[in-house]
Amino acid sequence: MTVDYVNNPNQRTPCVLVLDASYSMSSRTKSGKTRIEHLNEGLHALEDALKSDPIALTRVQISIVIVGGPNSQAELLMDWTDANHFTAFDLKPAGNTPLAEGLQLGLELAEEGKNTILSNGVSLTRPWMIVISDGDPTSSASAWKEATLATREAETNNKVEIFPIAVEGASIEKMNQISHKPCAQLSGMKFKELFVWISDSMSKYAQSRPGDNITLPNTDPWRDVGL
Amino acid sequence: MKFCTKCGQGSAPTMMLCASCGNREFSDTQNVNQKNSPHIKPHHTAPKRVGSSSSSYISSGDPAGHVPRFFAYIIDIIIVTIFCAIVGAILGFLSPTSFSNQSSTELISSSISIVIVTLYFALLHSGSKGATFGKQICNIQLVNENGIIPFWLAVVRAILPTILSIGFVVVLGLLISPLFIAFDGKGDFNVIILVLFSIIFLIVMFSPYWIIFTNDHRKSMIDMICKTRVVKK
Repeated sequence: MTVDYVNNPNQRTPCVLVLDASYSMSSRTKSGKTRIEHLNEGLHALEDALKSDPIALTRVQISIVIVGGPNSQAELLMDWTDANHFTAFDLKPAGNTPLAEGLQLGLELAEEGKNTILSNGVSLTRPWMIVISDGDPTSSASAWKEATLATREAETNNKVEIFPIAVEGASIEKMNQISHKPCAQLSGMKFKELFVWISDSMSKYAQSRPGDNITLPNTDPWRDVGL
Repeated sequence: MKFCTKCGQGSAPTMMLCASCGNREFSDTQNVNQKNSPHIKPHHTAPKRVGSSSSSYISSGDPAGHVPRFFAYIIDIIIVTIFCAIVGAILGFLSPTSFSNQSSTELISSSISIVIVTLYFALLHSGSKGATFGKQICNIQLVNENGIIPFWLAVVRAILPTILSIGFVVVLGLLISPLFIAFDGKGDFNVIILVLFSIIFLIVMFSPYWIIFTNDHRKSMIDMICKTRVVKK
């Protein structure tokens, strides 16, 4: 069983990762590795970080949507999984960047995950949706407009907390349309640092109670602050 | 742990599709291509769940912009022109009297130019970088849905613009020639028709490329025929 509410009735923090696995992620960086190799290392670092944190281990739930990838579409790659059952995997880059469809799917998943948790009598914090992309979306203009309206509306209605993260070369203008928060830019290829931050932040957030003021860990280790 | 029936990759139970090949069928045992085996049935198939309006277009990468493509083209033209000039000069220097007349010299020179241009584009497009020098400088590359294109396809793609352009111009010539015959010897009319013909000639000559402005994926007519794309690196 990958989601266990009977033996683990702790409050949950669901997190949808919307990951760009389009062909552009195959480009090599200065380190000699491709972007997707860095992202894969980040996913393994996320697994290690989640499993070494007793709070995150019992409270965080993850699901993953890929955008692009072998089937060149936005699709559910990993269904809701408790952190203790999360096993990292290696993505292979291919296809376009239908990010609008990925955002819509992410919103559906967040809502569905929330409803499942509540129907099992378990409390939860607001779901997170972390969007990581390195390219211009290839979705149609109307699909993009519709998706970004939906994400902003979901954020306004406190349905989901969205974190758009742009890998170098991404269209910041487009990524900024996803959330009311400005898009964060990844410095270099610091995916490992980013995923460790995600784990630490979710761990902290998972301990919160309604009305708590949360200060998330410092983003300096991975964020490009434009210096 | 479950295993992809197509590539044998191991996946966690919650994986809806194989991260490696995108297949949705899994088995409890590591048997590749189980679908082809009469004895082993796939254990289960993950339900398909995709974005509501996902693109039906199946190919690779984010499309390269018009400006980088234009500059890459100009750089490549300059490089192949220099190549052709050098090769032509060497040939002329080595055997200035071996060609019987001017027309045979031009024929051989044109043939060599076509070979050089074809080889330049074909070898570099099918090489490890999938890009000509112009494309490399502009940080773009040519791919198909499997990544770097094979040599034979690169050759076809290199020759096709010339064939298409010549074909279009011949058809245009056949359509316009009656006008020349009708207005033969009528002074200004001939000049106007000549100017019009030149403009239409240029439009038609480059028609395999105009189409990149008309579709979201910025594919030229050549790309559509060869199922290739020019993408950002």
